[in-house]
Amino acid sequence: MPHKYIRSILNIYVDSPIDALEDHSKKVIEAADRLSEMLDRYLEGNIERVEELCRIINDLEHDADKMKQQFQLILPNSVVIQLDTNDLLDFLKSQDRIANNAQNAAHWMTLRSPEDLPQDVKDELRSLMKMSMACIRGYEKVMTGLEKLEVTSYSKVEIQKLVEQIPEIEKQEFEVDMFEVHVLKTLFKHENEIGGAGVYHVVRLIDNIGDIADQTARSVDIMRKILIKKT
Amino acid sequence: MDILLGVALVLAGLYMAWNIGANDLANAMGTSVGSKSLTIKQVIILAAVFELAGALLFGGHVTGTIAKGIVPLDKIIEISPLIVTVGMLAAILAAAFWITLATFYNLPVSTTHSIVGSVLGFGIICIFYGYIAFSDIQWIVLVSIVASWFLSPAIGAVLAYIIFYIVRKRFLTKSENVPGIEKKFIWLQVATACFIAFAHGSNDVANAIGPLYAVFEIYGYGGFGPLTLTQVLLLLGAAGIVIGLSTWGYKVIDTVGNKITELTPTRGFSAQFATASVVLAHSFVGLPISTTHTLVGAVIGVGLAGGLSGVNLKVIKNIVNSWFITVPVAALTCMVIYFPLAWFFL
Repeated sequence: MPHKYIRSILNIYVDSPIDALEDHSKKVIEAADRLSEMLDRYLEGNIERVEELCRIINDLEHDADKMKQQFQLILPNSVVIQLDTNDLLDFLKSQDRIANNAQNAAHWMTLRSPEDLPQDVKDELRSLMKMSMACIRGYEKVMTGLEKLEVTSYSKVEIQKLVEQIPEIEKQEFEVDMFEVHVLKTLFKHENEIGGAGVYHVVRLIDNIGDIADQTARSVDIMRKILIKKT
Repeated sequence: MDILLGVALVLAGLYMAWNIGANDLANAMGTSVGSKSLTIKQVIILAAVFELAGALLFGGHVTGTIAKGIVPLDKIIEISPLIVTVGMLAAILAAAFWITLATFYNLPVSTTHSIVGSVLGFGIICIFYGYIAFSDIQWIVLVSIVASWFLSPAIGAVLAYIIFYIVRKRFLTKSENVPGIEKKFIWLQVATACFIAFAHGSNDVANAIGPLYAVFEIYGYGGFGPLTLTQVLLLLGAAGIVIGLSTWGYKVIDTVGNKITELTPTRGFSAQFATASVVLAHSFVGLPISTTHTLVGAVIGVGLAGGLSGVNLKVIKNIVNSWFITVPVAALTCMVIYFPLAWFFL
């Protein structure tokens, strides 16, 4: 007798949208992590590894896009979930843009050699990336905490714990914005050494790295709205 | 009674019982495995004990309804007991055929609805031949049975919603240690696993042995030793169900249990307690209902109360469709099977 001789009640259950969001966030976080490594290799002048990491980030961004499209398939109209579907889709789109920003930064980095960059600009770019990655780490912690919410049926205590983590991420994002200005000032001190094209390249790179922190803060802000609705 | 007919009836009854154990009971018990409250082996042992107990202690009422509550067999027996024997064999074969087909296609068809439909099919044949009048069919009983099919999943859903809502508000949302609470609920869920097997035995065993009881009673079989005929047949049906659970149902339990890990002890307890309470209440008044459909209602109730990340309400549409299809199809199949059997035996 074939194994499919089964009448089960399994089709009541739906795949958890929170699990799907978490899976998507893992791709986004990996893309950001790879970008951080890519900046280090770029500033060291290891172009071969930079090209390789750029390809990896492209793949991660593409995977995240596919997961974003599949997310809508697990939520047909007949499915009733604990959270607002539109809010979840907004969050997903926002989260996906973090990977897009990482990809933009990766592409931009490959366009120009870093040979003529002064050491203090290099150091500050590294610091800027480190600060953006601090936002990513905070967001990663929030995403990991979501799993606990389902287990506890959206316990107010657990929601509160997660929501309390968000202002710290926003503070870090503000610090990234301030530091961007500082890096730009340092950069313009060297405008004669690296020329207009060099300055423009680094300005856009600073923007792209800063955008990762901005987008991360926007995403956790949407998540806060989603969570507060459950309290 | 023709020995061939007797053997065929027992085998068909056992096949129905096997199917009920392999799928329906397995679904009902699967939640305990999913929440890791019990292993599959423990589930089978508990199910065997409590299914038998439920059948023996409360199974008589529903058996009586299926055997004699819908079609007035006494009037047909006066014409010829063989007509009832052939009719009941056709009914049980029709229900078994429809259930087999539904299982292959994973349709949410109920064994209860199938057997009620096929017994009604035999009643219609009797009207067609003029053995009984149209008004002799116990339409009020039939309407009560059908109404209970609509009501039982709804009551299951409301009850499970209330139970889980209380558990959630009282324990889960306030606690700092939810895993600790879940751990405490493991024993409650083990108790409700026993309760659901008991309730299932009290209601669903009748689906397999109701027609057998109707026939064997005609021929005056008085039972075996200290056991009455009803008890012997209930034991036979419960044994068939447990065999179904242990020879095939464990695969269903495994499939269901592994995929619904979301149904933690607090959620499993709520769904199973609500289902078992609704089923047992119906057994008490002799109404045959679908344990599986009630469980579906209860799981939806738990889901809507915040116990699951989501529920797919499409399953409700599929179940409602199955209500409207099962009774006519089972009745028609019974008629199709009856004619060649009648030609051969009558």
